[in-house]
Amino acid sequence: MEQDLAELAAKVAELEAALSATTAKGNTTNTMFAETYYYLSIPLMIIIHSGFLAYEMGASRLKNVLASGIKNILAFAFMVPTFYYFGWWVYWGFPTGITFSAGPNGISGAAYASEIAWPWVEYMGPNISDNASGVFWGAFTLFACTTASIMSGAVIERIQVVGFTILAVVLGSFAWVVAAAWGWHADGWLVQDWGVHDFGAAGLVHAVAGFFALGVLINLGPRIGKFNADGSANDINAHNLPLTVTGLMLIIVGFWGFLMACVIVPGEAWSWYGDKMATIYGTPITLSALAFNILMGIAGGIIGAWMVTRDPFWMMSGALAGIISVASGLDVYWPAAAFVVAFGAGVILKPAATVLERMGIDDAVGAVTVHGTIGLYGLILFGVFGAGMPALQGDAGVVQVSLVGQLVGAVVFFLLGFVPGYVVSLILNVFGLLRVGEQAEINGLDPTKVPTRAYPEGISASVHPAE
Amino acid sequence: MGFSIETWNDIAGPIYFGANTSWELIWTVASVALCVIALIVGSRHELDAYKKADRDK
Repeated sequence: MEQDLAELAAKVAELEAALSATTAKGNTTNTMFAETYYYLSIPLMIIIHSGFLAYEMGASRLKNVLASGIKNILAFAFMVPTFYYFGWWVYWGFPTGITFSAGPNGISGAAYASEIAWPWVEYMGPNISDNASGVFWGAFTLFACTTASIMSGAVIERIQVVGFTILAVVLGSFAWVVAAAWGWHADGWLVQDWGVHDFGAAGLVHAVAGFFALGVLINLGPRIGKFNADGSANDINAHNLPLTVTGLMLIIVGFWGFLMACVIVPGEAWSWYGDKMATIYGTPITLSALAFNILMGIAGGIIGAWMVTRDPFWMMSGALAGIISVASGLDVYWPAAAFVVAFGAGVILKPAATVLERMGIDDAVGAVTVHGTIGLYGLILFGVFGAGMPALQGDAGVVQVSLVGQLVGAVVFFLLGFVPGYVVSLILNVFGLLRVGEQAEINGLDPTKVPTRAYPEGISASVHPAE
Repeated sequence: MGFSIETWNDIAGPIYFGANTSWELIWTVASVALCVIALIVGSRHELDAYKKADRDK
């Protein structure tokens, strides 16, 4: 009897050891999957930047092509170290507001941020015990680069490159990061107190960047020749519209990386679950939901813009607007509803840009409209469709999505974009660091300061009658 | 539209708003209608452009 018991105990111990080994293998597989998943989102998001580069250079006139490219490339380059120096800290330190206290999930506040996110702590470099920080930081850095690129297109052909770079850092490594801490982080006060739901960052990335650009444009002023004495506007044509349209398509490609990086997969330090995907709020999501709704959003935006404009620039801008319009609720939209919402975004796109132009704002690529106006359109509409949805993972009684909550989020995101954009550009203007000299603008920025030529063998220049 | 659940705990199956209601059909019909309207408006614009080209030759 005792021998049987001893054999049984030995077998149980053997089975426990086997189970433990299997679990460890499963956890390792999960960790490797999560690390690879976020790692691959980074080059996909760099495609967004490639797209913005092509888009801006194509939209510039022949005399400004390379200067526009330099500006865009520098935004990327400065975003990476500044997000490393302090942007990552801001995301983890700010969620509960200016108290910098720890939130209910215990992964926020100044103490937590200082432990994990300052550039001199062990998690901010190669660490065999930490497979999450580098890839997560990398993905967020590329979100930051996206915000800077959004602003970059609006201000082409007349902004100083250093002034622009300072603005890009303020936007990409601070302003939108505060918005993300408040409206994306599960401890964020907009999420905890108002149930804000912005899965794909329509408000906290796109609207913040779009309205930051608006604040800058007010102080920067229009390009010479954009407006006539009576206030009417002239079209300043892109020197290479096919390049611009292709750039827009590249942005669409990169968006798949952006949106996949918004999903929290099992196996990393901040995963909600060990066996299923979740949104950053801990609510359920599948990649299939993204596939359905991103594609229907793209299609709806293109068709809506085509019906109103017949213009390939606005059609591809409509594709972007279509995704942005449904980004807040990509996790829970019914695909046909996503199509209808995106179609509406495509329809209102050009008229909204025209209204801005009539107000004397020279937004060279429609960034304020595509990202700002449509970002808020999508964020607020989700307050109608998503009303009553539990905004966070948790038991009954957890805060719910509401129209009022989404409106509060919209106001906060607008202010987080517009106010720093306006104030910092105003200060730069006072110190003579915002606008290029008049003669340099007339001559063109490439011949003025770029040591090489975009088309040394020459192509026909687009010369506007007002010049 | 909207949701009538208190928590995501133990939710299985569809998670979109209006799941298992007539809204699925309503949204589908609306999206089809928008496609058709866009094609009609687009066709009218295209044919008008061809007629204008003929008139101007």
